[in-house]
Amino acid sequence: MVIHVIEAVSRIGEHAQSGCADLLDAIVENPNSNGRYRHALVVTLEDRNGDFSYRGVELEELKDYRRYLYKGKKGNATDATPTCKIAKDIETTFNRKFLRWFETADHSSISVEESTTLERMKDVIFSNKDKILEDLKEKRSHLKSTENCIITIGVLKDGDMRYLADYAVFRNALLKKSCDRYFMKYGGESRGIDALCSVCKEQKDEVYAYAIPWPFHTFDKPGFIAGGFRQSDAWKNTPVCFNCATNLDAGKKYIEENLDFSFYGFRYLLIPKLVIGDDYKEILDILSGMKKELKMSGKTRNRITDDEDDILDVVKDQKDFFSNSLLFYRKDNSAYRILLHIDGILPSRLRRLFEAKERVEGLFGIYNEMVLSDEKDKKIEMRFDFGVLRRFFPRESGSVTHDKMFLEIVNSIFVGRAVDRHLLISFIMKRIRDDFVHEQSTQMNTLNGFLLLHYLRELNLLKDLEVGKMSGIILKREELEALPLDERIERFFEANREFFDSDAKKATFLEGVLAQKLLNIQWTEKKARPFYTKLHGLRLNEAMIKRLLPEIQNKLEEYGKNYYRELEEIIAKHFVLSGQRWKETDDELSFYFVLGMNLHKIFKVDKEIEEKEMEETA
Amino acid sequence: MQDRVLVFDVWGDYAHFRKIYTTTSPLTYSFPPRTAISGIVGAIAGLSKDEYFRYFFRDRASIGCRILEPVKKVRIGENLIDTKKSMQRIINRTQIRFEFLKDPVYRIYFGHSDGRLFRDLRELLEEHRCVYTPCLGLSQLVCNFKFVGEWSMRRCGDEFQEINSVVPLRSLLEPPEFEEGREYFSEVMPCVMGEGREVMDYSEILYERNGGSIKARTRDAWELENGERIVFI
Repeated sequence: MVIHVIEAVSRIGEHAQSGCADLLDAIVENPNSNGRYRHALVVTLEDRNGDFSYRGVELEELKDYRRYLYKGKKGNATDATPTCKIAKDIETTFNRKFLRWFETADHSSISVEESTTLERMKDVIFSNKDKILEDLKEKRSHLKSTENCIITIGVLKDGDMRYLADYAVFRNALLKKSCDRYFMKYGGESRGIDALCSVCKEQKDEVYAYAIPWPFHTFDKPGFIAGGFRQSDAWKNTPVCFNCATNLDAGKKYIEENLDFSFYGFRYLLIPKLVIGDDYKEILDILSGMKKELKMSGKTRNRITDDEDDILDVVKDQKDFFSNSLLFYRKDNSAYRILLHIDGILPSRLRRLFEAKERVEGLFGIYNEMVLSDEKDKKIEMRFDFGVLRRFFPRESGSVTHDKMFLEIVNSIFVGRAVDRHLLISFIMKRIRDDFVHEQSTQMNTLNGFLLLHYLRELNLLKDLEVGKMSGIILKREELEALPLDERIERFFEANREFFDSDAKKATFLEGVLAQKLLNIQWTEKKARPFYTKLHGLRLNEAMIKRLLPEIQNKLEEYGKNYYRELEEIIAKHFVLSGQRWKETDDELSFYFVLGMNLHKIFKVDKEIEEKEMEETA
Repeated sequence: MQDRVLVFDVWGDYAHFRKIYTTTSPLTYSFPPRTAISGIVGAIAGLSKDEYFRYFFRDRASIGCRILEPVKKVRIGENLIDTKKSMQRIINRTQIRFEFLKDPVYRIYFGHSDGRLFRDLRELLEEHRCVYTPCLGLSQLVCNFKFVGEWSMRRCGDEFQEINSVVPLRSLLEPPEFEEGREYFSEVMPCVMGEGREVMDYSEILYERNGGSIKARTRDAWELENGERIVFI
């Protein structure tokens, strides 16, 4: 059965750590993870039957990082072990990190023997600290100033060099430091004894309060602690045992490295959750393996997002043995905000999204060919991805943003919830009107709006458009061009019948076609489009649309270029059939009108006359 | 196990049952966990905040829940007061995006070994009275309730049958029959709290997102007088 997000992260972490020999391997950090710390300055001591003496500083290349037991802490805090990275200058690091570690080392939870070893090391180091610093500086001078290194300790015993990982006292110190952060925070501690772990659901000796690794789970304000606002009781909210805590850390690391993607100005984590079985290996191998393969092959990919590395198209090809959570988040300084959490997306659902994309792109082939690409052999293809939606719900300047609505619609698309058609059309019209009033082409926004509506229709997400009305007709250029005008129009309406289910819509659309024809003629004649102002910035309503037809006809007659009498007749017929008090909203009517304006090329009345006009226009 | 249950519906404009692993970006469970239902019952019956948990241990109380309306989640920004410096004075506000359930309606089934509590609760429910104000997860999300009935119940067999309530996974004898067009999800949620408010039991619970029934073989299904089949959580 599907498991919840945090448990899934823990299981992913468990898998990610499966190659590690022990727990320490998972905790130890590689100081050279960014490739900038390639050397170690080893403060070498000699151990003769438990007596330590200072031998000097060795400069060595950093090979097996695990031996140094490095785990960094931010700021002035000492690291988990004496191993530390040289930050600005060697002296500050030596005093504030290296020496201070011995001064602040906690002896309370280590054995007497370990404590003695530590004290002896400390004595030797402190009594030779000036010499050590001098030697460190000297060895550091052998490296270029751009090369960084770490300071650590090595112990020569019986001719062998031993490192921190060979000493139980340092291993335990590291473990303890790692453990402390799970319950020591905000100036106090919060851990439960002999209680249930909320991740593995087992009774554990100790459970901790602060083990959820993401900052969307913080207890920095007492108001967050349910059941009395007491910091010491925080563990009761989210008790996590040590084992699960380390798994969560590793799981978080794995997910952030491998399953973090961008999405139109947002980021999201894809968290796979098993539906059946309990082996994460297969699913993670598939996801990370496929990602690498796709990166290497450089194959063009079928994407529905803007992330080059997006793996939704890989996930879609899998069987439904796992589901996915998409966690959209935003980082504001140190805060981590979950913007949207979509749960339970099966590969089959993603498949459906991709299939709809392909079908809709197939339907739009005719517009690519006849509307977008026939001028000067320019080839533009309409493709559906979430960028089409983002176009109408953008992040605008300043505080104006449609992020929330954008994500809500993304959520509806992923989970299969209906979207309000009127809301979409009003936003589509907002963008188109912006173009219109600035006298820019409305073509791309209009066609993208139509594409978006088609896509949602294909997924059956548009309210009040009934299922079973899809025509399934794919329009072809040759076929359309061979038809007389009235049949061409009928064919077009038939192919898009789910969107042209009333005479009012048909009449408005065709009137848009006619209006564009008039504007083209005006441009040819006068290099101006005075009729533009009659379109009221595309804020049209039933009365305006009915009034426009005689005005357009009149203008065409005045120019002596009314080649469109047949089209006018068809429009008039639909006006008669549409009756009074149309049910369509003003935005909807405006959209159909501007759609007609932009698809006018499909309805050329007399090819030769129009082509002549177009040449002149160009 | 008692053989009678009180059945009542609760609903409100919004609900929020915070998932335990979110604080600054609170997400919600899709239906009230057993602990939240205990709180609703405790509020109606007027049980003291300090001691009400002991009334709801599994050996005393049987609690079931049915989703009556499709689960709809919406996200709304809320202005929270910064409690870092003071719990009393408003020094700073911070906006946090909450996930809420919109228009939730649930049916609660409640049985109890304490006859007096059972009778008192029935009386209060019938008269649409409550001692404290019941809410759906947060105090500002006040809910309404309506008594549906006090019904007897009998054990069902363990064959495949339609279960109307949400179903804990551990009571399933084999995987349920997933029907086409239904949306099945499960959530792990706290179920029983000890007197110190520490969670004593977490349970993974299966539900159908639109409130549909689940066809399953379970070991603990009960059939009520009106034909509804439920499993206690």
